[in-house]
Amino acid sequence: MSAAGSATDLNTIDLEALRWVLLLERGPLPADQQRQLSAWITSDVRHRGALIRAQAASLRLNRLSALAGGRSVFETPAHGHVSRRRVLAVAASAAGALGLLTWESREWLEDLWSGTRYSSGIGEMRKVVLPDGSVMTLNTQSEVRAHYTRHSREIHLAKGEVLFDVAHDATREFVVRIDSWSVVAVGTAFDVRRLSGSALDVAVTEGVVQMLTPAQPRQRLAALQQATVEGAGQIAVRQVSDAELQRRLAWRTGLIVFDGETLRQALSEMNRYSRQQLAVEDPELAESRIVGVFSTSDAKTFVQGMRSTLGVEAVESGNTVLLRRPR
Amino acid sequence: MEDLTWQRHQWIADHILPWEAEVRRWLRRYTRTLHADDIDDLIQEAYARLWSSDFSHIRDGRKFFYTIVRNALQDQLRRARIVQIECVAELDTLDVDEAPGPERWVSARQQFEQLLQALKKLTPQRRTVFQLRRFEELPLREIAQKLGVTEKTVENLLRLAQGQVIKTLFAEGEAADYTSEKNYERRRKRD
Repeated sequence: MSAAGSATDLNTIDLEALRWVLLLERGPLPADQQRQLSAWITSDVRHRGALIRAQAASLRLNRLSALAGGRSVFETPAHGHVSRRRVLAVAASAAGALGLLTWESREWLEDLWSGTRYSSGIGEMRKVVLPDGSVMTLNTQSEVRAHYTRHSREIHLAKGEVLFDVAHDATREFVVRIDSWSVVAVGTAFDVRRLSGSALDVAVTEGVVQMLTPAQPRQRLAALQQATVEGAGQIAVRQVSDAELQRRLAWRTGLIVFDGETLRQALSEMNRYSRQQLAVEDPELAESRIVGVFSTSDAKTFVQGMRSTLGVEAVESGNTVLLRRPR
Repeated sequence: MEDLTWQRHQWIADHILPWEAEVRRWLRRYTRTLHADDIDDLIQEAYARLWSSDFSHIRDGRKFFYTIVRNALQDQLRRARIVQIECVAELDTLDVDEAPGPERWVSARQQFEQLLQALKKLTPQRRTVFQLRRFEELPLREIAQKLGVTEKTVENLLRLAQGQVIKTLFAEGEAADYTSEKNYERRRKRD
């Protein structure tokens, strides 16, 4: 293999598969390309396999790349200032695809979409492109209802956590309703979390949102701010670092990042993604601090990690795995 | 439909891909008559077979992967009507030992380091494109503007960069400590 890494030592089928994966990554394929892809896949079992492999490998690469925290690691020649990562990139490309629709089909689409319910199962992550090109990414066990009309964009969050990348539309506010609260945006990106038995929580990655509730002054939230509403309706706003925000949103790439959380917190986070529930009873053990990067789909590896770092044993009974110190 | 597919890809990424390099090494060791191209073919076929099987209940991806590759190899040998007793015998007695050691869980950070090592082997231009696209998540259009090349060129550079990185990390296995022979031996002794 030459040091420069010539393309000739790459398998041609693998390269072709990768070409398709990179195309698919950019959005839905136009009909003619869709046909080409189907023809390619069905013509040879190896093509099919190479495509599956390239998709899995790219997924893994993307997840690893998230650890770069939005920055280049090696010096990149010939450009000065590098702009920050684009949360809105997805929304923009989706809007492009919808731009092809005629006005009539847009209206039809609006009718079709108004009041539509979207939900995600345990461990499932779901990306939904709304008619205006806004994108909702549903984390595990989430449920929303979207109401779109010509004059409003309204989302009701029943439970769970959703990241919104809002397409800019000055004529229609984008409103997320949770309990008595409304989170209002024009064009921005923010994450809303409403887990059962815990506080409502809003974090903004880009732009500005406003939080409204009856009988309280409106609260303005800018990028890198996070608001928490406790049971009593008291709102607390704090500044978060970019790194902290990236950690919070790591689920978008199938990862959970712990950086000093207690074992108790880590378990309740892991449990959001799995039917099998992890538990800890020993109060002292529950306060142990955890650092590490884990996959949301792989509790087994998490348990192995806890075994080797905390020296705990895992006792499985039914659907529960109890972590405890060896007797 | 998209979501289910995504979950399946994620499972393969987590439970199959990490073992590919080890499986390739095993194929090279026991099937000396196979060329590098044949191994690529077999691996591709294995992924296709994997995909069409129900793996929702599979817990040990490594064992599953070996089984699938072994079946694909057996079918191929049958088709080719080449009698390779030695090879087939090896297939039958192949004993895949149990789940991987705890090295695995810490590997996300380590693997990121290995990704950086793999990037060092790329030409500067390919490396730059990879970084701008994957690390900074810039759109292709913007990368093209920055580098003063066409979008088509960026597309091509990205494909080659990613192809090489995938090869280094997953086919040659420089991503995974735990699949290297040395670690493997150490683990066997310790267990």
